[in-house]
Amino acid sequence: MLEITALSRTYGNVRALEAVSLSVAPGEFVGVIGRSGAGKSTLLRLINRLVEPSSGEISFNGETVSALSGRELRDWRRRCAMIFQQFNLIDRLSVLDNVLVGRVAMLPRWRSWTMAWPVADRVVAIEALERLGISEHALKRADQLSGGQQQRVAIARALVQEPQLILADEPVASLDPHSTRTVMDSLARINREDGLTVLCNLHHLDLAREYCRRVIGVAAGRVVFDGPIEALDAATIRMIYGEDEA
Amino acid sequence: MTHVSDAIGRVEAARRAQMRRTGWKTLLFGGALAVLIGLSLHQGEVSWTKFITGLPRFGAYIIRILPDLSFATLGADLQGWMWNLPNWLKLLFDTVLIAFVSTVMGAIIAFFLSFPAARNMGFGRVSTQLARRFFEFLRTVPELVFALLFVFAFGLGPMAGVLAITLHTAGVLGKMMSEINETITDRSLEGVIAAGASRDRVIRLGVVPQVAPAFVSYILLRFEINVRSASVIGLVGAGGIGQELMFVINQFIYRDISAILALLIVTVAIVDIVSETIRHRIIASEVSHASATPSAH
Amino acid sequence: MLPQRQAHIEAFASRHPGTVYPLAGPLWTRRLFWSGFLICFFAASIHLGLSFERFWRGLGDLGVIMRQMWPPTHHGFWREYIGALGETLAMAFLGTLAASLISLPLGFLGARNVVKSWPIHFGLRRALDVVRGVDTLVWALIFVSVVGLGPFAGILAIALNDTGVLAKIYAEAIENIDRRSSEAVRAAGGTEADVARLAIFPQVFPVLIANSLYFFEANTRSATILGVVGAGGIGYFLADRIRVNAWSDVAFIILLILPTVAVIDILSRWLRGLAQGRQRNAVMR
Repeated sequence: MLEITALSRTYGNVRALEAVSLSVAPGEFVGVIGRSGAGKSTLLRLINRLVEPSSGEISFNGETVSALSGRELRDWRRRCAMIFQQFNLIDRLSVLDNVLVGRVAMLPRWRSWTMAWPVADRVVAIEALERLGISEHALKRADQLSGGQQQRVAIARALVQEPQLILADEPVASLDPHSTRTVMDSLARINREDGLTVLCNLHHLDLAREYCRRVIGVAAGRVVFDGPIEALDAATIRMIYGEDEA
Repeated sequence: MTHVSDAIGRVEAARRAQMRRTGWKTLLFGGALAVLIGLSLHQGEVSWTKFITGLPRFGAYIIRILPDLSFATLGADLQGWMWNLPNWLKLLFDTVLIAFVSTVMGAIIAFFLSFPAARNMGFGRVSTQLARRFFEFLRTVPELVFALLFVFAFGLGPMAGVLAITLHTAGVLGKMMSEINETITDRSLEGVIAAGASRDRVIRLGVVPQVAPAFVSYILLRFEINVRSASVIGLVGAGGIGQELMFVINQFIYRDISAILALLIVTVAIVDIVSETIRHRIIASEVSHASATPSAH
Repeated sequence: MLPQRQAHIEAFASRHPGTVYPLAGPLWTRRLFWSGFLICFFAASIHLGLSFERFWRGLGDLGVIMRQMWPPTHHGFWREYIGALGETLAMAFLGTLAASLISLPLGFLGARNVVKSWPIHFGLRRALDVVRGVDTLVWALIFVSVVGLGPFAGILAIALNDTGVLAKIYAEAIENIDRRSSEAVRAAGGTEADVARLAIFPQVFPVLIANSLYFFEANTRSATILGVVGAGGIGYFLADRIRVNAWSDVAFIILLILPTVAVIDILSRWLRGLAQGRQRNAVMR
């Protein structure tokens, strides 16, 4: 159970996120929708603690994760795997090595320094790649893959973190329609098969309609809608996306 | 007719305006340059008589140091010219070793400090400024000055030279490496941070693989330069061929001067060729990987 | 591991060698390389007589020197020091200027697209290699024994070594220029001299300015130490004060050199920026 209470983040005078409160039950697939710059990305980054909250609290299964630091913070980051719009892979490493980056928090320091990964971890990484249908490319350099393939590598990296929560920040915004489908299907399948909670930022409403039972609408840093997708009416959509885009 | 003369008039006016604009600038630069040259000639104690008398003497000097080599007795001539070859080769070998050891040590210092010296690695302003100022200091103090100080502290011999070149190399490479680190985008860093990695592992996995080829090629380039530096630090007694070279120049042992210089030039050339081949191979493999990249969908 | 999963992984491993188990070849190549490298490094260090014991002892002496350096003083020699610093700058300036002027025609002669006969540019380039292969400090030492002690020897040394480097750079710059403009001048009936002046020179000029400034910057650094072998400039005082262990004077001189070099760096970077700005404008037009 992820619980967020009165979470705010300001940059100078700009309020990126203001007094956001919400809770997500285990196994949910939640879509976060809104215009670009509405604060969706800040919300997900706050949860992973890539961004520090200005005020408010985040807790997970009763543990206050917004107060963690050091080793505990790193373990929390491992537990809430992040997927980025631009994949954020390391171009010059092989696909396999990129996936194994997801195991760093579980391995001793010398393993990551020498990149001498244990066979057991390699097996876990390969199985994750097989699940996403890209194990054939395991030894290629990450930048030699197409965008859709790279995003699936990023999902595999998230999987081997053995997370309890997946945060996907606009995972398909830089992809073509075909890749969009394979990536979203992969996320949906992981949510279904592993019972992993997924929080997914989406710019397009159509995708949210197709994949998410529940959506959270963010506009100007505030949550303006939170409920089942069917309850989303034209007036709310206008509120979320503004007059011009609705 | 009027049209034509109008056009000519306009062009001429524009040209004059342009001349007025740039003219005074050119004049200013020219004047400043002339004053600088005048001052420098005075300060540098340059005079025509010195130049006129010096030039032929330099020519005579060059001719005098050239070896007597004739085709008929080439073998014996060469043997006479290179009479002290084993000793010189040993000194040259030492010179290359000084360059090697100090490049490695300097690169290690530069490597570890280049991360705090880069602004995007999240080390905070204080450590970044400290690391940068440290590199700047090491870079600005000439190697020979370090060598002079170290010869006093550590005694005559290669150790002083190695330490002097190490420090200078650390300064130069540290600046270059930190600049390369700053080309790393936050994106690739965040991918590793979000997986729960501590900072040293973020650097090891997110930064090092990306910067390694550039680092290696700069280190090799620095090695080439350091071979040259190592050949002159001997002039202040810090090891290598330099000391022998200074001795023969100061004692006017003409044949030996050309022999040592020839050996030195050949050594430097060999090091350059080997290092350049490796560097080009690195660059070539980078280019081939980059061209194999499909466009992102 | 479950036997079924085990079998699946083994099958994958045999289909894709290097995934589950690292390949033995590259692994051992890497191990061999690094152990060889370490052995070379330590063998070289031992051969050169480096030792921690000597290092710590020397560090103690260095500490003594450092303590005596503070506070930096000039013992009434400040006029001489400032004058020597001016001499250093003058040496760097004149050396660079002379090298730039000499190396421009040599650059033309050494360029394959200007001088067609290969013995000329081959011979010239090898001569330049030799000139370049000898360090400025060694040239300074030689010139001291030819023209005597003083800044003149330093100027000649800087000029000669830089000519070797600059002429090569200019020759390469000339070889890499756009040949269409040369053809245009030739097509308009221009002689080879016209081609050099009208087509090649304007394209090479910005390279020349940028390099000369860059070399002036570098030469300021090298000119500070030429005095160590008696070729003029501040280096003479530096070496002398170290010889007589006047450490506070040494500190004073170093504190004079550092800001001077820094100022020259900034100045040269600014001027290079100006030159490049003009070049960029030229492209835009």
